[in-house]
Amino acid sequence: MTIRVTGLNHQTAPVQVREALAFPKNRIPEALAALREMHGAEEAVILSTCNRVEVYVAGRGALDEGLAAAFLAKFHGVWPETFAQHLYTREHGEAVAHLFRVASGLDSLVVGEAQIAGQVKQAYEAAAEQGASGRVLHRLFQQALSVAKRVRSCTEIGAGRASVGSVAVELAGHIFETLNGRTALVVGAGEMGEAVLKSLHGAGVSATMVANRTFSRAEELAREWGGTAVHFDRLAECLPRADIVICSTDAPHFVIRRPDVAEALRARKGRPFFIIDIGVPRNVDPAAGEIEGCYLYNVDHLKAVVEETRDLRQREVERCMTIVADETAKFMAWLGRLAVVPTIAELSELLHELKRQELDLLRNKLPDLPEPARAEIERMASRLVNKILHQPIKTLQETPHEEASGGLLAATLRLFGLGGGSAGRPPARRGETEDTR
Amino acid sequence: MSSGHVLVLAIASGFYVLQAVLGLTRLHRSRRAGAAERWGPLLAALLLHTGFLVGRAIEARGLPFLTRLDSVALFLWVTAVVFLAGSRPYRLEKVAPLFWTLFAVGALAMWAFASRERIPGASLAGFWLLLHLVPVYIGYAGFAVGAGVGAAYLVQEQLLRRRATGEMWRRLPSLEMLERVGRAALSLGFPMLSIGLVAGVFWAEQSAAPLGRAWYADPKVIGGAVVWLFYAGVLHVRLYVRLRGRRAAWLTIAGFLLTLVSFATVHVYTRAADASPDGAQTHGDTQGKP
Repeated sequence: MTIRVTGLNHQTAPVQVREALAFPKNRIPEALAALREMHGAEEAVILSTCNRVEVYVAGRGALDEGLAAAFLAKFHGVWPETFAQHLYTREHGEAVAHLFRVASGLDSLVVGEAQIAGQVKQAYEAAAEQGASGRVLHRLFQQALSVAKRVRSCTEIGAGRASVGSVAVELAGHIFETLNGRTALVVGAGEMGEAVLKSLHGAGVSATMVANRTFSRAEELAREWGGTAVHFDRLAECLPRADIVICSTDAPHFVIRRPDVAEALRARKGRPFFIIDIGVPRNVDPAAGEIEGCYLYNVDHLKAVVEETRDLRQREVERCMTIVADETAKFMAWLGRLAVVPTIAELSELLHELKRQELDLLRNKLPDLPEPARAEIERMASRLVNKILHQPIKTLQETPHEEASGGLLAATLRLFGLGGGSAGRPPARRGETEDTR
Repeated sequence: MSSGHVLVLAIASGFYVLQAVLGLTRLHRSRRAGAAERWGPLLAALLLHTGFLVGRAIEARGLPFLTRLDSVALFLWVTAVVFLAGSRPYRLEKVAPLFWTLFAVGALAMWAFASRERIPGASLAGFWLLLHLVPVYIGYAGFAVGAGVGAAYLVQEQLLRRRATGEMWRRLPSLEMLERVGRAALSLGFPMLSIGLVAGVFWAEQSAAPLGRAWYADPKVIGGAVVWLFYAGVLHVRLYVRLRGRRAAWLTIAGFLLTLVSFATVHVYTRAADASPDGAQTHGDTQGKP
């Protein structure tokens, strides 16, 4: 049984290559059908996100990198040469560990992001709906999702915030008990300011005031966020009503000065005040941050937190990899057991058949044997067969997948004449020929 | 006090210290702790602590106030219970490491300062004494929690101001929440102390006559009154003048320190009185008051 993944991701391929090979959601069933019918993949799952395109296959002689490349080229109508150098292929344990890393966000652009687990789940569900995932990939993807959960719950890989907007939300969360019902004042209508506002809205900030030198732009942004536009020269009057102020103008001077903040804090009766200054040059007088109750963060402070988060997550990767290795070993052990199941069944069947034959022979030779004696002999024969089977079955089950498939399995098949055909049949009874049997 | 009781309380104190150390370690490391690590030592400490108090209560045939160690142990127990009771509604999990650290310091201080000798003439009968001691202990527990939360506020505020967004910052709750919990702790502690002090006056008035001494001259009464007045002021500025932030946190901590100073001063005074040749005693000592 082979498990193989072939694909490319944000580390190996530029965005234009990833775009060209991405599978739109509605074409995944068609792609899975093509994989199975035309390329002979027994089981297949396609994972296609903005950062990766990967084809997981499982089965005896699952398609190799060349066939996978041919499939991708044919399906998307591109030349294999345009992406072949960006492809990677992993097999067996490496393929399993790769999926576990992917599902846990360890292979993501932003390490530790949680969205990928959902995408892995969707990819698996799409394959399951098409009947493209069988016993092996079902187990593999189910385990990948549980590994992702284990990694997130047992480590700090998902800790902290990894974008300026989300850092602003986290900082606000350390000042205010809840962001629900809070008011944000956006000064300037820059892209970054809007991104921060978006994050704050997502976290519960409900009211928005927008002040911009161009009033029409302020009105536009206010409309977009269901807020109110404010004239720039009346900024100071609005300050006390805002819990969070986001400044992102390109003004060459301070637009909020220390006395404005002091006055606003007095009007707020000491309630804290969070100012995010992402303007360059700075829009808020740094001296305002010295006033009690005012927490002023500029773009460098926010970026420093983002970097800290990335460092923290990076430090956690090693611990996550231990979990991945542990789970990979568990999966491979299961796969190993799965691979020996037919051999064990065949071996067991062979010995029991031998037992039945010998008991029939005995019955013919000793027709007058009393019933209790015959029953006892049958029980003894069964015990004997079970005792003979015990050690080989145990060894086959406990031997690691690679080792078992490498030699032990073949040796077992050869020793007992298993694996189908006449070699697998019990030996002829004394006096019987192959033909008469 | 039997050595068995002392041993049980000593082991409980050890578990409190372990809880504090593990909590502080967690503030600085990224690994999440399992339930056994978070709750194990605390559960063991509380069980032993409760066992100690039950044992002492059986010996005293009432509230366990036979020695000063009993008093402080009961105070710590009530504080722990008040904190745990408020943990879920006020989401105090993030303050817990700091709280249990202060608590462990309190437990160690108990061994350093609280005597194990039986207070002469200690008797715990009477309705007024019960109505005095139970609310006073709950009140002091509220003040202790308030002080712990105030300390957490100061730490969090400094971390935010210095933009020191490390593990500790991440694990401490928001300023607003700490502020709210601090107010709630005061709002619990002050009325309880008031009830306890009023009940104490009634009790002292009843028991003063045999001693031939005016209840208001008792150092414990004076100490209690000073603490009460201070907290009345703190509560007033926090609730009506709307004092917030660092100053409010410092005031809450100062209030608790004043409580401790008052306790320690009275303790030293009353020990001296116990040791004096004329055997002068205060009401508090005769009845094992905290």
